[in-house]
Amino acid sequence: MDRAHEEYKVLVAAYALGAIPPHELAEVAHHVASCATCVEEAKAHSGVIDELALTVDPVPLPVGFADGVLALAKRREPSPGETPEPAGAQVLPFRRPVLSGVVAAAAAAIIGVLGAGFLDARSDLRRTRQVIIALTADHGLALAGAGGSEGHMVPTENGALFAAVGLPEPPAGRTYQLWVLRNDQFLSLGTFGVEEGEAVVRIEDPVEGVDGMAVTVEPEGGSEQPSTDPVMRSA
Amino acid sequence: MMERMLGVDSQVVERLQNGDETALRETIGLYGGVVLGMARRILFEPAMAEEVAQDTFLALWRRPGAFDASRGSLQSFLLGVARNKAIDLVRKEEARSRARDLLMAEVETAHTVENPTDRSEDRREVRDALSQLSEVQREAIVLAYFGGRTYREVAAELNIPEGTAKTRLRDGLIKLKDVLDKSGTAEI
Ligand SMILES: [Zn+2]
Repeated sequence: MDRAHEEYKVLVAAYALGAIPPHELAEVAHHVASCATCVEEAKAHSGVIDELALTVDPVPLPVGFADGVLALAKRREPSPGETPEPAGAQVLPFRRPVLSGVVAAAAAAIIGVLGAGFLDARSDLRRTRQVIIALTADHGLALAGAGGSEGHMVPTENGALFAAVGLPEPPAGRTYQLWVLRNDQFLSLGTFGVEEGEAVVRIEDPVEGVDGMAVTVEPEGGSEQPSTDPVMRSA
Repeated sequence: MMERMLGVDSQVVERLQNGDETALRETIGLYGGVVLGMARRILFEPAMAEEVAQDTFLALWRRPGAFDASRGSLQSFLLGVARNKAIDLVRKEEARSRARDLLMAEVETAHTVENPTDRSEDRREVRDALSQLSEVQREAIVLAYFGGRTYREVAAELNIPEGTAKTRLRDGLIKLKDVLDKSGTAEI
């Protein structure tokens, strides 16, 4: 962890600015989420970055702007929990409770292809999440929670990627913890924090043959077994 | 004052959650100008910036719960959403982004011209702080923040090693915080 910290600490500012290339993002986000020092630094940077937004001059809105937004809002009322992004971002039906090795390999291949094109086409957390969600349509696991929060897990070559959106900041002294359900046993995949309501977690071990997934709120550092009801779970 | 704002923001969000259209109109009335300003700052094409501003308020309407009042103001949240959306577009097609000299020119004018209609003390204060960075720090931050460049692209564009780009971003943000913290206490 110290070696990882030395490697990533200088990237925390770029991370807070959204200036990490997409293929490095999961790694950096993973370290920051699991490192108290980097979380603190990221928070400090985020405060400054919020201030930076204030240097923008207001521009007069075109006539009828609000009417236009309201018309669009009414044209397609999404069901509760649906995200605003178009393709690939709707809550996906839970397809398969068991992730076979073959499926994992297929997803890894797809990520490889995207890595050469889509992911390398530069993006940010949101885009990474969309890729994960798109992949989840066929190969992964979708989780849903209160307030329209969603999670998506997709296997990769050596492990898995988990992305979540719509999660509030956990209460002070608490953290989110990710679990898989296998043979009626909960196994921890680790804890994570959220950035602007979004999280991307890299899971180092292969996630195969699971019966379900859940996210709970646990004391900082995580728990041996879930101690609260899931805030998000697979169907 | 912060607490009052926090309360107001939460109320607006509660009304949005209940599908209150007037709340959306009010929010647009309050923040539409800066949201569009943010999109215009990043995107070259005005029509596209308008679309981003629309999308920003649509996103708020569809998922007001994504805003968490304990993490900052509604204005900051909306500006962040608008910036993300605009940068997404820039990254899909580079032609949409502003060139480096244009981005920098806006910063230079911004902190030398006094805008009489500018009611925001904050805006002037942050601009002043930005002007106190070294030119190379300011350039790196503006390219990343308003230009949507990754640190690797900042390095390539400024013809500096990637390690230097990383530290310029970091040192710049730390200096900025320092200056803002000081000016904050000086005014009280
Ligand atoms: Zn660290």
